[in-house]
Amino acid sequence: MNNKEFIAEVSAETGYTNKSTQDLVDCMVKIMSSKLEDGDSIAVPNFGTFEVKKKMERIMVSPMTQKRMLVPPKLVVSFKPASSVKDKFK
Amino acid sequence: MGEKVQLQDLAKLLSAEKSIDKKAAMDFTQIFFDMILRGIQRDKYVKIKGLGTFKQVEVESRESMNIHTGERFLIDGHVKISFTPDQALKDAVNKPFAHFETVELSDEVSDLELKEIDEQFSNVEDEVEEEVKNELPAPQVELDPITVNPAFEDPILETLVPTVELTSEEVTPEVEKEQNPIEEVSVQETVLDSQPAAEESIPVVEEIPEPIIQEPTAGPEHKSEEPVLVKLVDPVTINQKVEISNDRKEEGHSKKHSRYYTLLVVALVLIALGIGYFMGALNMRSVKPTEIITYVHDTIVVEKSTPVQDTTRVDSVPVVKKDLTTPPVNKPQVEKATVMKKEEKPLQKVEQKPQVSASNKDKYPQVAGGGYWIVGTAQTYTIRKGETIRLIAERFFGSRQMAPYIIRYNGVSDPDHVAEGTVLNIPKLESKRK
Repeated sequence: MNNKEFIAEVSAETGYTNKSTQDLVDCMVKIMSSKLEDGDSIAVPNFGTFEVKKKMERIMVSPMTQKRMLVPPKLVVSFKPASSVKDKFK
Repeated sequence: MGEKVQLQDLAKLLSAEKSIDKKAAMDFTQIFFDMILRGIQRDKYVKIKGLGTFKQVEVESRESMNIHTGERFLIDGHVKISFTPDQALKDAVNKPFAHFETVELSDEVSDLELKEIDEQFSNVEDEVEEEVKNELPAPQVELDPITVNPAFEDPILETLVPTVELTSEEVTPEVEKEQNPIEEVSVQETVLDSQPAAEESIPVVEEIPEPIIQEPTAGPEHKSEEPVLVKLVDPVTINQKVEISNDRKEEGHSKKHSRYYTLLVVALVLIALGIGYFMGALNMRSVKPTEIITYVHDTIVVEKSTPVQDTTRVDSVPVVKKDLTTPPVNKPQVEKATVMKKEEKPLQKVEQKPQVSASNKDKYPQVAGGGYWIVGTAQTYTIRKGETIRLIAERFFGSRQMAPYIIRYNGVSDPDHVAEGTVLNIPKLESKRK
């Protein structure tokens, strides 16, 4: 399901028009990403948790050139599904 | 930062943003996430612009082992939900670290670097001994040009070897000799240049595997130590013999060491490069060399003082085997002497390098522990609005980590607040490693 289909589904469910659904979804995403940017985690019951994790710097060997590279530390978003969701998918 | 945002908070923010009813917002967020789940279930994936892609990944069953019992068991195949954040979200989250880039490491440097760190921490003691040793023989090298005829040495070496009969008692005379000079030296050591001091940690492990009690090579040439030596050896009554052995030993090692000499120079230069790189990489935050030295001194005193007591106690024993002692003494000395010789020479080399280049650096303030010398002013630069020293460092030197050089060179007291219009001298830098 791509973005378009998703919005169509949501609008069908909520009764909003496609356009306003699109609007709301964009707003939702914006709020979430701004929260994650601040380093907050987002916990949604029966869905899962979005979290920002810090990955430490590390040394890696490039498989192409066999050279050693120092990969800098970075912040990544991780998502962990709630256990109820896991059960659902079994 | 680090807070936990709940679904209600999201709904609240949404209602504020879109000025819709709180309940409607709550419903919407609920449906939003439910829809995602339903989408995953139906289509195996859901892609949401600006957020990312949720995917259903099937994991095949595999065998594993119970770590406690060693029993094999099967992990059943199951379904996993993966989330790949959208590039935009990824970048936004990683903003604080965005300026970092993957750097290529040159093999040689990183290997040495790692080794160096290991050894610095694990071999502090050896380092101490090493330093003492290096300090001692140093003057001797100057006094004693290597002009020994090789034909002359070989027979001596050979004659010495067969007589080896090492026991702990026999070694003690040497040990004793060592004590006094070493303590003297530990005082002199403050003069020692800090950089080489750090470097010595590596040779320790490479060259002196056996912790033989180092002999100060109190050769006849070494004026300061000789009186001490003679005095101490006297009670053992092998005074003259020891002196003879010293002579021989000197001849022996001057030949031997020339072989190791080139090898060691190469090794030490590599090490110097490694350290230079390491210090630079640490952005001058690395341990100040002076600190290392002071620490080292403390341990010297402790370490060296204890053996003194041991050996003085034992030293009555060799008196009994006067005649036996001398030949065995020769052998270890020859060995040790060569070991030491090996180190002295390269050591001096390394020491001199910074000094030579330092001559024109004395005029300028230097950044402690940095990888570069400040050797002059490359140009001047007037700070414009919104610029920081770090940005300027990035522009002129290609890295923000070079900012300390500008700060130091200009004596900026508050690097975080530099007034607009301040004229900065951009230092000309010269790498410490050649």
